[in-house]
Amino acid sequence: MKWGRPAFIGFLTFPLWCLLFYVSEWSWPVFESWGPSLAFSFQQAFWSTVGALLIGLLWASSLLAFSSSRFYFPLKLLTLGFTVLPALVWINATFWWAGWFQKVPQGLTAIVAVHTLMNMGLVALGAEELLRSRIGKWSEVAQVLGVKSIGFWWRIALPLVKKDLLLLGFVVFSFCFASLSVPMIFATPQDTTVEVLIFQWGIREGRWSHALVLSLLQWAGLASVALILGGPRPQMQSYKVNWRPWVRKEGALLFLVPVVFLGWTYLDLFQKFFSAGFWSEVAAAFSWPALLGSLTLSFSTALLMLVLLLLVSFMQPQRGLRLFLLSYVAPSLAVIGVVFFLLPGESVLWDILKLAVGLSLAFFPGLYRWLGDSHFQSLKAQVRQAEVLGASSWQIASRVVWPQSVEVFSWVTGLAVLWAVSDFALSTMLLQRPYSLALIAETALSRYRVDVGSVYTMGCLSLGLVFFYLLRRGLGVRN
Amino acid sequence: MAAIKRTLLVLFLLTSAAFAAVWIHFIQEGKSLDASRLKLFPLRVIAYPTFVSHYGPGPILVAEFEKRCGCKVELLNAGDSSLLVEKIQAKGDEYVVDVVLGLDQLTAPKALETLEWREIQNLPFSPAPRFFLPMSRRLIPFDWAPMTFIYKKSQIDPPRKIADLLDPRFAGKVSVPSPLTSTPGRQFFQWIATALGEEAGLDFFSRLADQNFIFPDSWTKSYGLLQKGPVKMSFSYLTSAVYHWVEENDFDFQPVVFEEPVPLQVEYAGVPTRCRMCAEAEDFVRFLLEPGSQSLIMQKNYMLPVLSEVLEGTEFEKLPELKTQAVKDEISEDWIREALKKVSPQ
Repeated sequence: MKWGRPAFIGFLTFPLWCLLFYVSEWSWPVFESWGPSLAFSFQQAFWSTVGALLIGLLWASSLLAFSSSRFYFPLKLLTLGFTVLPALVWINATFWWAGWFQKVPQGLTAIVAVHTLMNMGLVALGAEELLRSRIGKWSEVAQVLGVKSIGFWWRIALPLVKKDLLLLGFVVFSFCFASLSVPMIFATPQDTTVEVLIFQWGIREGRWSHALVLSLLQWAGLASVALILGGPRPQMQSYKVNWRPWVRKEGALLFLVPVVFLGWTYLDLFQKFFSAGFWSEVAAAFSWPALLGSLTLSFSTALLMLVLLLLVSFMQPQRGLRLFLLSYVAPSLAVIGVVFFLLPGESVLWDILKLAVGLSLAFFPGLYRWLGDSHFQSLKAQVRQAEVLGASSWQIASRVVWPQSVEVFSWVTGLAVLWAVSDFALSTMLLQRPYSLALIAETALSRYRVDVGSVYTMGCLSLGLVFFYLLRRGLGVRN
Repeated sequence: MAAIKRTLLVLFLLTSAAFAAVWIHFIQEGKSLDASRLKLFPLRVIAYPTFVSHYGPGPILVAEFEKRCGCKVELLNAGDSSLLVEKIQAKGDEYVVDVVLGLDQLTAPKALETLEWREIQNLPFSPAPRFFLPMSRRLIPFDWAPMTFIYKKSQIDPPRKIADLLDPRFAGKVSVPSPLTSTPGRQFFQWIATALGEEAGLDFFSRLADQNFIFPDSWTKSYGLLQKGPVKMSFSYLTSAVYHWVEENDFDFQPVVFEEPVPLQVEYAGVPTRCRMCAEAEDFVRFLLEPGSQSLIMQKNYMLPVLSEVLEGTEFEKLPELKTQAVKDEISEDWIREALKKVSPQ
C-alpha cells in the first residue's frame, strides 16, 4: 500500500518516463519558440470554455425541465451522443455549413465555435447533475418564499454552484487546451497550440527533449490551476424536486441546433445508402480480422479502465493523488505512440494490447477529471466515517465505494471504449496489421472514399454504443 | 460489488476470447501457405497505411509474390510515411526489416543518412534518371506523380501561373496541406521556393496572406474539403483527378496546368543492409517494377507508373502533360517557418 500511489502515478506517467530514457541529448527550447503557442492555447481554451459553459448551462436547465417526462432519458442520451462524437464529425459539419454560406472558417472564432459545439453537451450533463444535487433542496424553499425565476438563478443557484462550475470549466479548459485536430485545421498557420507544437517537434523534427519539456510545462500549468480550484467540495445529494418554476421547456429547442447542424450535413450520405453500388463498396472494404481486432480493443480497454478505476477507489484520491489526477494531462498521442512503438515485441496481439494500454493512459486522466473526481469527493464523508469505525482499505473500497460507483464506472469505461474503438491516430502508429475498423475508415478517407469512410466511422461509433449499453447492463445500471 | 466482480470476470473472459480469436486467425493465415515450401523467416515489408490496406496494391502484390517465391511475406503498416525512417532507426537492430516502401524525396535523404541500403542489381528496366535522387541509386523509384492543384471545373476558373493564385477569385476557396505535418504541403512550399526563389517566395507568401487559404494538417483533410466542403481547389497529385473520372465518372474534377514546372512526388523502395531475407527482398523490389505490378500500383495507388508503357489505353493517358521540377533536396525548416509567418493573416 505504501508504494501503491507512487506506482499508480508511475504507471499513468509511463510514456513520459520512457521518453526521458529515450532522449539522449537535452536542451531547453527558447521561449520565443513556444511562448506564442502557449498564449494562443490559453486564449482558445479560455474562450471555448466560456462558450461551452454558457450554452451548456442553458442546455442543462432544459434537461431539468424534462426531468419528470418520458423524453428525459432520450434527451440525455442525445446529449451524451453529441459529447462522444469524434472531432472529425464536427469538423466536417463545420466545413459543410461553411460551404453553404460560402465562408471560410478560420482563426480563433472558428476554433472557439467548434470547441463550444463539441463540449456544450459535456457541460450540460455535468451542470445538470450539479444543479440537481447542490440546489435541489433550495428549490422548494425558494418556491415557498415566492422567489422569482431570475432571482432564483442569480442569487441562489449561481452562488451555490459557482465553485463546482469553475471545476467543470477547468475540465472543459483542459480538454480544449490539449485538443489537437481542431486547432490544426482551423488555426492560421502561425497560430500553433502547444499540443500541435509537441506533435511537430517530436514526430516531425525528432526534437523529443523539447517535446518532453513542453509536455511537462503544460502539465505544470494545469496543475497550478487545479491546485486553486480543487478545494474540498460538499457531498453531492440527488433530490427529486419540481423544477417547473425555474426552467422552461422551450429551451429544448436548443437540442435542435446540433441535430440540424450534424443531420443536415449527412443527408447526402443517407441518400447514397439507396444506391446498390455503394453497399458493395462498403462490403468490399470489410474484414473479419478488423472487426475482431476492434472487439479485442474494446474489451481490453474496458478491462483496463475498470481496473484503473478500482485502483483509484481502493487508494482513495485525497490530497497529493487527487491533485495529480486533477491536473495531469496525458501526453499527446504522438508521444504515447512513439513510446509504445519502441517497446520490444511485434506480434499482432501485443500490438493490440499496446494500443489498449496507450489509449487507456490517454483517456483516463481527462475522464477522471470530468466524471470521477466529483464522485469520489462526494463519497469522502462516508469514507471518513468508515475509517473512524476502523474499516480497512479493502472494506472501504468493496463495501462503501464500489457499490455506489457502478454508474460512474460505467460512464468512464463506456466513454473510453467509444473513443478507443473510433481512434485512428494511435491505431495508425501502433497497429502494424490492419486489424481495426477505424483503420478501414481512415484508409477509405485517405483513398478518396469519403462516404465509405463515414460509414465505417459510424460503424465504430455504433459498436462503441452497443458495448456501452451492454456494459451498463452488466454493471447493473438500470437506466 | 457483485456487479463489478461479475463484469470484470466477463470482460476478462471476453478479452481473452477475442485475443484468442485474433491469434487463431493470425496462425490460420500463415497455414494457408504450403508449409513445405516456406522459408525459415517471413519476408518483412513495411509500408504506409494506404499501401497496406484493402484499397492499396499491397495485399494483391504480396499474394502474387508469395506464390512466386514460395515464401511468406509479412506486410506491415509503419504508420505515416514520414515515420518510416524514424521507426526503423528508433527500434534499433533487432527490428528486422527486409523491404521499405514509400520513402519519398523529402524523407529519403534522412533514410540514406541514417541507414545503410543495399544496391539492387538486375532491375527489369531502369526507371528514367530524373526519378532517382541525385545522391543515391540505392532507393528504387516505383511510382510517381506531378503535384498540382485539382479544381472543380464548374465552380472556378483555374490559375495558369503561380502569380494567379493571388487573384481575389481564389480567396478562401483553396486548401493546401500544412507543410508542418504533411509531405504534399512541404512540396507546395518547396515548389514556390524553387520556382520563384527564396526571397521572392517569401514575398509571394506575404501577399498570399490576404487570400485566406486553408492549411489543414493532412492531405486527407485538405482534399476532403474539396470533395465535401467549401473549397474549390486543393493542392494534390495530378493523378487525383483520375479517381473521380474512373470511380465516379465525374469529370468536374480537373488538374491545373501551370506554365511553371510543378514539383514531383516520387515513391521509393529500398532494402536496408540489416535485412534477413536479402535475396528475396531484392526480388520483391524487382517484382514491383514488372508490368503487372506497375499496372496494379497505378490503379490502386492512383499514381503514375515508372514504366510508361503501362499507361497505354488507361484514363491516366488523358492527364495533361506538365512540366516538372527536378527531384532535389528539401528546403530549410527555417524558410518554411518564415513563409508560414508571412502567409498568416495579421
